[in-house]
Amino acid sequence: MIAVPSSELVRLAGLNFGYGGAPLLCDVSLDVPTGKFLTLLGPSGCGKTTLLKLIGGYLKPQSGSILLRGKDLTHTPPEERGIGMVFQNYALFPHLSAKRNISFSLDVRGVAKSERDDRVERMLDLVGLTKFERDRLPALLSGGQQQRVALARALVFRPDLLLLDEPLANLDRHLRDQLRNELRRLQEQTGVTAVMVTHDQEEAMAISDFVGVMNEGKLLQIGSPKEIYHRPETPFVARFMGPANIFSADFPGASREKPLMIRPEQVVLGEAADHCSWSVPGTILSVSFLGPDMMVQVTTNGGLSLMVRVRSCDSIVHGKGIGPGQEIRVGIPSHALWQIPGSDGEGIST
Amino acid sequence: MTPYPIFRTLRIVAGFFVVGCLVAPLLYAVWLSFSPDSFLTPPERDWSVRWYKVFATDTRWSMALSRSLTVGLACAVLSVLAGAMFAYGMERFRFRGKGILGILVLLPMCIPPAVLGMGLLPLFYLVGLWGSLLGLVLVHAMMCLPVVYLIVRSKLRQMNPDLEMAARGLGAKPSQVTMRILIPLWGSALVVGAAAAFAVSFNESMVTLFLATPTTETLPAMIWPQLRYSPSPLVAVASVVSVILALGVAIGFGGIVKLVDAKSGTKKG
Amino acid sequence: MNPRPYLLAGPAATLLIGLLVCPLLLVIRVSLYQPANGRGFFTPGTWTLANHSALMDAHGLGLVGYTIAFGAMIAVVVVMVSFPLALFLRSLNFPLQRLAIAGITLPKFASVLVILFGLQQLLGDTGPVNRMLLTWGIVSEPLRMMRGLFGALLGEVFLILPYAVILLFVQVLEIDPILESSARGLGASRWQVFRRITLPLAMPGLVLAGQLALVWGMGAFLGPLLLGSPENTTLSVEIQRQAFEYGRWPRAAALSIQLILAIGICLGALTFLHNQVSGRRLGGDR
Repeated sequence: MIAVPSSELVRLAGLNFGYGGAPLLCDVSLDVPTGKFLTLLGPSGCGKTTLLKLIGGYLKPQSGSILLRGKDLTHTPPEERGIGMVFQNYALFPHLSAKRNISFSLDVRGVAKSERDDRVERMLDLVGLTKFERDRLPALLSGGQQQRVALARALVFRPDLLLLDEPLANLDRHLRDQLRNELRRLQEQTGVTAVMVTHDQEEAMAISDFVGVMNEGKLLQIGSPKEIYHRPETPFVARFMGPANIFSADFPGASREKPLMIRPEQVVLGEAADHCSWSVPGTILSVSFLGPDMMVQVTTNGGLSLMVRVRSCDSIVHGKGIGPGQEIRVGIPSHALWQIPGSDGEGIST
Repeated sequence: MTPYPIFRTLRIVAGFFVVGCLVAPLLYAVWLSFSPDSFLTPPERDWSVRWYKVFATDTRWSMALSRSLTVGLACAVLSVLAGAMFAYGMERFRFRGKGILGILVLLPMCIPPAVLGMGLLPLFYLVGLWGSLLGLVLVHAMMCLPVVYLIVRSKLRQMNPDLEMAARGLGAKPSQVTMRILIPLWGSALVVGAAAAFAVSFNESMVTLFLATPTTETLPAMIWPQLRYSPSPLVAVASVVSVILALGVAIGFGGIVKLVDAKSGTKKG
Repeated sequence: MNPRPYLLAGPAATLLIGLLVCPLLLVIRVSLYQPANGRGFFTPGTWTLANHSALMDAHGLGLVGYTIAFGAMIAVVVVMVSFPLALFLRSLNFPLQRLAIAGITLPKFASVLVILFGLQQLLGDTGPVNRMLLTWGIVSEPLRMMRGLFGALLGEVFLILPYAVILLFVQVLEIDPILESSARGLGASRWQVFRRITLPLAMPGLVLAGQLALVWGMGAFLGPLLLGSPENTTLSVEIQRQAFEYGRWPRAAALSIQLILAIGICLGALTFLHNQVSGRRLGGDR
């Protein structure tokens, strides 16, 4: 794990959870250093939301422990854990105004009125809610505004940890990109440790310090976004982080039992391929225009099928142009090739 | 749906005629209550409140009425408290025995009242609840459970369960969650449930008749012998009074619900 | 083991077990006592099956048969009247709909006794309906409507109908009118739309209403007692009579067991029949 004193982090150890016979979480352990942003990534049903609820105290683990800054929280009720949470549907109290929603945590702690109002005002400014919106009931606020209220509500009592359950899932694309940067800004400004759950790998990589990939109740890999993207430990992780070419082939220095991976953007096409350590002739099968990029499906003369991502403004596109049936040289730089150390029971495509 | 407006009008008239037939017995009873003499002929020109005066001055009737009211209110409170707690436990938790309890709570509606009465007779003897109003309150509360349960459960299901979790995560103790979140949002359904329980208890006659004794004489127990053996306009008066009371309580409770909803709707920060 | 849900369900469960399950168990026990023969309601400490076997004679079985027939008639009438009424309610626009619902549910604010009393007076031999029929010369002597099977049936139907109508109304409201208009658009006649779209979609509600009406009809007590004839009664009336007029608790208890078993069997038969019919439908229409 990470070598940092235990008083400075969130530590989960050996968490198990399940109903009846079906385990939802298997022996999950991880550390999050204070002030860092961790995203748990995985498909629906992988257990990431369950893990979040366990950390928050809404579910009791069958075994394992949860430590926050050295304190064992495993048996503490949620109201005493000092953990803020933003729910996927925001769970704003419909009968309270935005301001009253935010001040809720201070109201139940009996904070003095003047200090309470002061902190709420500062939080409202921090998340960017106008005076007009403050007295409105949640039903009259837009999705983005509700999100801000939910964030302010979870942060105003200065929690040690902030949990976010797919906070951007209910927003449209444009708003999502805008808000995710604001989310990161808020986290850095307040310095709170954050654990977010999402199924969108782009979102995860864009704003996190660490990414943990989960599937079927297990934590498969945890590391920085670059590590996970370029050095996935299982084919599942590789594919989940983005399109990947995974195949078995004879390469110097690589064993045949473990699959090899190269990302589509790392494969070189055309004359530049000859500069790569491994270049072969190939034929283009299909081309898809995606806007800034193009996805090209090629097959080498040796029978290897590869997805290649090329910038639309790349010279080989404008030069001879590329189209199906065309012959082209395909290059794989040895530094871009990664041997996947682990397996997840999947078959390997050749 | 129909091509010609004339058919539509005819259909509406026919439909309301049927509805009218359903209300007719009640309306006729109201009409009879104003009859001037002791024959059960409805007044045409000679409306009189003579029997209302008899009803109001007869202590036996007043006592029966007040007993019915007391039992009704006590039953409403008891069944709503028990029913709300029960519904909350069923909706928010998983536990063994949930399936059986779910069936059990609906059973009072399905058991023939005569059978229930037949079983309560020896039970009350054994336990010493024979002739006590408390026993009647408990029985009525049990009989109201299905109605209350269905009403409050339906509202609870509409409420986002994350709200309570969110409140706890923000530091609210369970009692604070109940007072600040649960009651404001759920309260209107509880009031409706209480009104329904009151109406059921106040009008309950079948099991009540089985358990009737001089000390537990409620309104139905007084109406019954009159009805069976010597009907007079007094029965009609008692009926009218009970309908007005039940309606009044329902409207009153409904008003409270509207007020509460309006307040929480425009509540400012 | 979290105690919270048990504590929450506790009060209601106590009420139910204490005042519903225990009485039922007691009914079984009392039915096995020997009759008191003049000293009290039963002879304590005794065990006998005589009370149950005594009900197996022609009279006893006739009573059961009558109760079942009565309940079945109630179920049929209630379903056949409440369904059109529910559809009628759905077809109304808002203010009229509210008025109709108010009219249908208003009698439920009155006690059962009030409604039966009103019916008794309205349709009695000297009541306004008969007087009207006589004056208009439609009949030469008063039509005997109360004090018989017709009276008992009518009384119970009046009492049960509001519940069935509201239940079915909620059910048919869920039938998207788009479905019906699409069917019309595809060329179906109004009757075909009803038979192939409305009716099948309303079926769960119809079955539930029928089951409720059957259970309540078989357990019917005050309707047959007040408005029915003294000779032909239902089991519930007989139970009350045995318990109060004759003080024969063991016999009354045995009748109660008989009634519950009869209801259970009929309900099961109805469910079975329904499954058979709907199974056939799903398998192949035409």
